[in-house]
Amino acid sequence: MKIRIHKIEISNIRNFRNVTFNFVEPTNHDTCAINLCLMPSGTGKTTILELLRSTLSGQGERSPRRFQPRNWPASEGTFSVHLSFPREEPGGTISKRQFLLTQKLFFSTNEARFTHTTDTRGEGLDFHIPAEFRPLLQRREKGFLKLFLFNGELSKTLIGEQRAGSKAIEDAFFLTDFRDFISAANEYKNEKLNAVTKGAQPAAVTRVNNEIAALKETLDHLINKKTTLDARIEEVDNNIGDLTDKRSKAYEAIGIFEEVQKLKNEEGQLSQELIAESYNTLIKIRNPMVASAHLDRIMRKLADSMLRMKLPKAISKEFFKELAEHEKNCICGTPINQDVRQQILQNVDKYLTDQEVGILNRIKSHIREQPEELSIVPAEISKMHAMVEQRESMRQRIKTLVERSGTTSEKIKEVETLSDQLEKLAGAREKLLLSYKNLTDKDNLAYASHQLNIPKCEASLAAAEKKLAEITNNQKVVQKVEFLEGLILESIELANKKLANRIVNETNDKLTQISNIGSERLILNTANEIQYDSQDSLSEGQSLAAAFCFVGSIFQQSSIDVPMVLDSPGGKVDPIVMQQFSKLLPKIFAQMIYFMTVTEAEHMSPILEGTRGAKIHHIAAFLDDIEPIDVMYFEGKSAFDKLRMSRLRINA
Amino acid sequence: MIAEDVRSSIEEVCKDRGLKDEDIGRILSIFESYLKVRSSQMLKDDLSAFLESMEIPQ
Repeated sequence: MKIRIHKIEISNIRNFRNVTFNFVEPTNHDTCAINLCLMPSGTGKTTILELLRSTLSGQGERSPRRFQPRNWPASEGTFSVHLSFPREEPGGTISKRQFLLTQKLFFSTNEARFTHTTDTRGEGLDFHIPAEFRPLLQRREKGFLKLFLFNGELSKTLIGEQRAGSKAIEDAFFLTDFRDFISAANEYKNEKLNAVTKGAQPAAVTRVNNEIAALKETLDHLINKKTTLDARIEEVDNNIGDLTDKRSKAYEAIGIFEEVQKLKNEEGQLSQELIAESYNTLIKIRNPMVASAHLDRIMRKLADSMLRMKLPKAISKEFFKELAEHEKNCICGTPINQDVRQQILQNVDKYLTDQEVGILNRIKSHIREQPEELSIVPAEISKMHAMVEQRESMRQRIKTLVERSGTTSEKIKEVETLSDQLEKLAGAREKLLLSYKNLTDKDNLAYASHQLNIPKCEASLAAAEKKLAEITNNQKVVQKVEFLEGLILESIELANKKLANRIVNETNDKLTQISNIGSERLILNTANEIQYDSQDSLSEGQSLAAAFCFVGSIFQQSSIDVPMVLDSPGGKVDPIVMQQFSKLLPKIFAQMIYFMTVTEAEHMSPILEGTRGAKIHHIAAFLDDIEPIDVMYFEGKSAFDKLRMSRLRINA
Repeated sequence: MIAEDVRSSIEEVCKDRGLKDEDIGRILSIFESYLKVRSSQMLKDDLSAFLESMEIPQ
């Protein structure tokens, strides 16, 4: 049983004005095996997955208003999926039956309606897919659909919770359909009982028949109540999901604000450093010798000349005066008579004073002590240039972040309001779950009322039917149906155990290929429940890896071949685990449509692109900057890489 | 379309409960037809005929 997705057309839904996601090769019109759709956060990956689930299930959206565009007026939106169900015909030819399913969302009346077009039946105002696929896609509150329209959330519940893993196996191997034998056999039994009781009946038969009719009415009422509760719980879960998303975005905005504050502090510190650096450089520039290499050379020449002049203190003006006035002999021993004394005193003014000699000596020493490295100023200026550039880039980043986050005080208020709403919803959900438990609890049947509890009502109905069988001689029919029912339930349990063992082993084989998730393994416990071997709590990456390998093993073992549609499951997973995932993915699914974030694209796309023999179809979709903001769509590797690189730059 | 593990489990349980080979074959055949055609009415008719003729093993 094969399903392939060819196209998804979306118009007037959230940020999608009119976009067609194409998963078909232009050359031969075959569906592409690996489709990588890069969509940055907030573009609409989750919207696509939610609508794909409700469209393929044929159940339609319960709250279409959630999908109304905010940036332009629209009274209705459409979500269409082009599907094919390839089937091998006798003679070996493959027929590709094409179906177009459209879900129309009417925002004013909050209603969803289906239309279809098929290549065999033409058009119609309903949901239509090949009969053999209907039960599969429509059953169990989209449980089966969630296995291949996968968003990572399932990984938290698939293993170890309420036999969800066993239920998935039952669906994928048609054991759920085998369970339909029980209701069909019961219909047969009821017909038999009613056939005998038709016409004039003794009073006892009429009394039991009335009792059965009343119990059936009560059971219908209780089942309706359960259906309403199911719908209400799903609605509350959707609302909780929506509000949690909104709160995460508000938290993110506050997170951005914190980043802005940090950047502002860093920018302030850098500015201070820049001022100090400028001051020091200015001081250096004031020294002409440091500022100019030419001047430095001249001054050093002058200092050398002065050194050669040898101006010791001994030949200053004061020295000669002292010599003429107080000494009898020169330091060379020559006697100083009156004429010599007169001559010295006449010429003494030609010499410099002690102070002048001191100044010259100081200048000489100062020049010679100057640092010889003349490139110091250009180096300092380059450093300052770099600092200015760094400060400018910080300011730009602050500006971008501030524009993105909006007013933080508003966001804080929004988080508080959303948290209050979430708390109320969690309370409402708890009450609903309690009502649901009271309605479906099988453990305390002795104390339950058949008017409030479905299993009790079913038991009372079975007892009444048994009584009727006795008084109408139909015990054998009832016994046969009971025999068949027991046989079916035991067969399902045994088959589930065998399959679960096989799938657990397959999953563990795959997990050994993802070495970075540690030694986590699955086991089948004594109660035939699939659970983790380890008692330690698992990281998000570990549980995702395990769930994904588990789902992959189910589909590899079953005869159902579906496209795996992924809504950024690896967003919070370690990049190395992501890369190892990427190697496994193409081996498990014949068609994969991966709606990925920039981080996933960064780590996973190079690995997926390297898959031997696989053609990769690249899609880039993002929100444009022009009002009214809507989704832009491009195909091709260059558009994909361009978007990836530009977002990485922004994130950096 | 019936997986081998499912088929063998049905056969095993039916044999354990003493069902005749012929009846086991009929159950599997009804299941196979149901998976192909997906008609609830057909399933009910087939099962009714089966229950009419089957004998509960002693």
